[in-house]
Amino acid sequence: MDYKFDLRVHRVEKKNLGNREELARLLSSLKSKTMKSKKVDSTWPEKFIKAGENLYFGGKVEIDTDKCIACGACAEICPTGALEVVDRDGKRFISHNLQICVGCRKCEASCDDKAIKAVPGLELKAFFEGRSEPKKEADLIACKQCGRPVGPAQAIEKIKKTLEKESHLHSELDFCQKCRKWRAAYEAVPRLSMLLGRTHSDITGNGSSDSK
Amino acid sequence: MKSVKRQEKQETENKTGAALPQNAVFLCSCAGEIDKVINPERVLKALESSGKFSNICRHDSLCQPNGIRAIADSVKGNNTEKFLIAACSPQSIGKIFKEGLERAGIDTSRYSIVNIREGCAWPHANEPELATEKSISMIKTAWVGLKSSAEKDTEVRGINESAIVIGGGPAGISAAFELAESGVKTTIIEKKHVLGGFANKLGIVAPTNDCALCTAFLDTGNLEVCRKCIYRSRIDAQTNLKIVTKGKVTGISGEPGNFTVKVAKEPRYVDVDKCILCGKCEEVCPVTGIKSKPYSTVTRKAAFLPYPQAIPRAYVIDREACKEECTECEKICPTKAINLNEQKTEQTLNAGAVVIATGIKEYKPNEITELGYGRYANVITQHQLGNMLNPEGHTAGEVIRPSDSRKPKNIVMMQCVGSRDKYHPYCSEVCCLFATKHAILLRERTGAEVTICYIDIRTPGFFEKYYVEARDKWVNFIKGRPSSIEEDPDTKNLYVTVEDMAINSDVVLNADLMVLSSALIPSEDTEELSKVSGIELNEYGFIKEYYGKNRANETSLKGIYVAGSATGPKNIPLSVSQGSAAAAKAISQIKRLKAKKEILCASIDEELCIKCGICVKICPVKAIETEESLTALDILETPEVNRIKCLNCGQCSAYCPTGAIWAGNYSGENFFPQIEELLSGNSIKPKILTFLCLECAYAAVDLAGLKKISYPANIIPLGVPCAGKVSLVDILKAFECGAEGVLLGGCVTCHFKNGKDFMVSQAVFGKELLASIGIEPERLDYFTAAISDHAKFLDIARGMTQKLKKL
Repeated sequence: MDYKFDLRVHRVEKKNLGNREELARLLSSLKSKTMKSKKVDSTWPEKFIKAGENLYFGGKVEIDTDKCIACGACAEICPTGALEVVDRDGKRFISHNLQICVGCRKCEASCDDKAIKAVPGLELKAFFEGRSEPKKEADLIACKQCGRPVGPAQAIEKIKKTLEKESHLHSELDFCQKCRKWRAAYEAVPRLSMLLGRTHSDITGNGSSDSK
Repeated sequence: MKSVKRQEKQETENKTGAALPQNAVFLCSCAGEIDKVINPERVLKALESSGKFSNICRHDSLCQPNGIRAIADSVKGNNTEKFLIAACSPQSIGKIFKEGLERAGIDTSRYSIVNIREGCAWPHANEPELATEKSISMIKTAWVGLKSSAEKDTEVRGINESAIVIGGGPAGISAAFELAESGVKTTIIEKKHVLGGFANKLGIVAPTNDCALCTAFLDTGNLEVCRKCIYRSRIDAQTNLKIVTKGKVTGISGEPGNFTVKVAKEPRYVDVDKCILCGKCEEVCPVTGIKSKPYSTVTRKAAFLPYPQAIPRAYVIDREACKEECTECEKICPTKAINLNEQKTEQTLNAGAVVIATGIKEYKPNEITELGYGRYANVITQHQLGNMLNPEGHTAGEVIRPSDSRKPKNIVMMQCVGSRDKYHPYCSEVCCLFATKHAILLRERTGAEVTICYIDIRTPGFFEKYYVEARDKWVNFIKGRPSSIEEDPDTKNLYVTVEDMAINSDVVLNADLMVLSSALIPSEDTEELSKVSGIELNEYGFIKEYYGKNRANETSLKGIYVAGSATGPKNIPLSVSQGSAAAAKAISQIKRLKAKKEILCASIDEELCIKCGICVKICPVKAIETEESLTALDILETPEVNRIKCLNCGQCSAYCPTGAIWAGNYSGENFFPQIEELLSGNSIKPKILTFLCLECAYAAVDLAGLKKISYPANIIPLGVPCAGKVSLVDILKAFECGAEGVLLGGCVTCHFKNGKDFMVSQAVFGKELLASIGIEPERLDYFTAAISDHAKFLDIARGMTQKLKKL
């Protein structure tokens, strides 16, 4: 698989899924036998075979794009990296890979907004050939300071609302994590910039260099 | 470690010149029964030519004492390491070999029994050729399994010699007393201020028509045949018994023999040990006139004694009612028992066994709007009426109309309110008894007209006497369910419309007081307890029994017992005896002092584990443990298998995507070669590999053999610990190795919770999967059987063989 490692938000190493590989080997060896004897079509069927509620061979996920805020919690918890979050060109893309999904339904449990639903089952074509299905596209908010992505707009909105409810300040949410850290550091130690002779915008790179 | 040790042992043996460990097969002819069908010469030849066995012995009857002695002598004399016994079914004979050989110092891990009598000779008497081939395959397969089986491993753990009882109603008290009496340190955790529970609010209880307090009593050290109630026998004085009131369980963890129970204790502001019941606090208390119900005629102060016989023997301060700054009671208390600044505390208790007796509560039928409960003052529930009839109740034993405290002249009762309907589909069991008992009491005490509207009167067994007595006392019975209750706004009288099914027309009854026999539902603590401990609930929200027929006192978690109405509404005698039964189970567990278990359990390969949590979710006994989490969602570390809890059913291994977890003796390296061996090297056609659960399903097939009912020799059995262990990989592997059909056999009631359901859905899914790769779905089938159900197996075995022969 062609991963763009630099863009993936949660990096999951490729896992050794021994039992599933054995399942794949057995399926293809049995199929090759039937192909010879009964002239069965050589392609893998595209039909998704649904399994019982409690069976765990694999699965597909359905994301309710209206409810999903693209926070990426599902991808973070996914043990195999079947759910993938990529931030590219000011947009966040969440996709699901049917080949490596084991149907554990951790994503379902992790979703605070009940937007994701895992359906246990197997689609043989995807299981053998590998296919990433795009599931959600969301706009990202860019950092006011450096322009790097802070997070998806809806997720930030939700965080803001939660903070407001608990009456916390949320102005810092317009900045990326790195800038936020430096801003906090400079705020806490006002003399730091004097001592170091620079402001936080220098460190984060994209800011103006006039203050030097 | 273990393998290193064995190597060393071998090396030292080699040096001393002793013979190398050998392997043997013992063939039983069963007094000619086996030889009649299976050609012994061919078996001998085949086994000799395999070169795996250095010693092959034949015997006439291995199960007899001289046969067992012959095995033991031969094993010792020839330095045999592992051996096979080819005889009859291990299910019937295994125990005899085990006992005989263990006496000779040979443990079970060194041999296995091959079932060539019931499993081969007898059912295939008409196909001797195939039977011989099949038995050779079975013996060779058993060897493959035995060769790589684990060494015997036992684990001994100490047991905490104490017990915890959750809930202080009749069942809980009874369990706690039995435990304490037998010398077990027992803690009883009650959520209210006093013991007694639901039953104690009633004045008169069935079947003895006296108060509920003598549900349990102590008779330490004396043999008087005298009944004393919890008050007169002062159960709180028992040294082994500790009573925690205002306690709530916030967590149960651990394993049988060692549980940790977290208890949050609300303050009761009075030290139970110091209180002498002088009543001075009540005298000085300035807060008066507190009514526990709006219609109460008895009022109390903020400092009060719930009722005179209350156990524990101490006053209660109602801090919600009393004034914040007033400390009169604290000042006057002669023993300094009162501390108004007492805070909520949290305790952690350890126990060897836990008994749950969280009981029931009454359903408040507000949502059944046509009955007007909650809207009309004079509509009350049966439990409220029971409390009115209690001399210690809200009305000091007077039955009154809540609206105007007048004595009612016409009382109508309605049965099955909220039970046997869409709200709760079950029968609440005791309401008919309640209603007839109360009707008799009302007739006796007040002379009021009583009418009971019922669907069916259910006073089973000897409780029928209440029904008969009620009829004798001129209580009216109307078969029919009231459809509406209307209130006269001025007099607050009620008009009850009911369709009398005897005369088939609507009747309107005039009622001063309407009593609803409301459903009995699980107490709120049951659900919370299930959340914090992982104990399963049934579809109605009561605690699920481990096995309804003969293990009704056990929960889904081993070592946690259940008694009384926590598993469903029960009358008092049944609750009390269930309490004693649960205590007996707990005592027998605790008194063993040590938990010894032959360990054969699943193990997890940390390197392969991807922490997906599937095994944690699947495990029927919650033996796969993660740190502080039962949810399996936030697993960050590889979970661990609790060696005491694990039953080695293998369900976990069927769904592990990586092959990191395997049941003991059923790992990939052990199990797949068995499938290969069983399917290669014999000319049986078409081969149907039959995975049989070693519990009921295997026994059902066995019994068909024992009855000498013939079934096709094409059925090649392979035992698995649970039908849920069979994974898709196992099934496909069988097809790859040359099986033409695969049959799965599970038990009607799974011994490991969901194994049977897994098997069924697995088979349904497998069929579709096979169809999509061009294999006929008929080649995969399943059956479920109880031991006596061998007809089911025979049908499917014969049918499938015929089908496959056609294909």
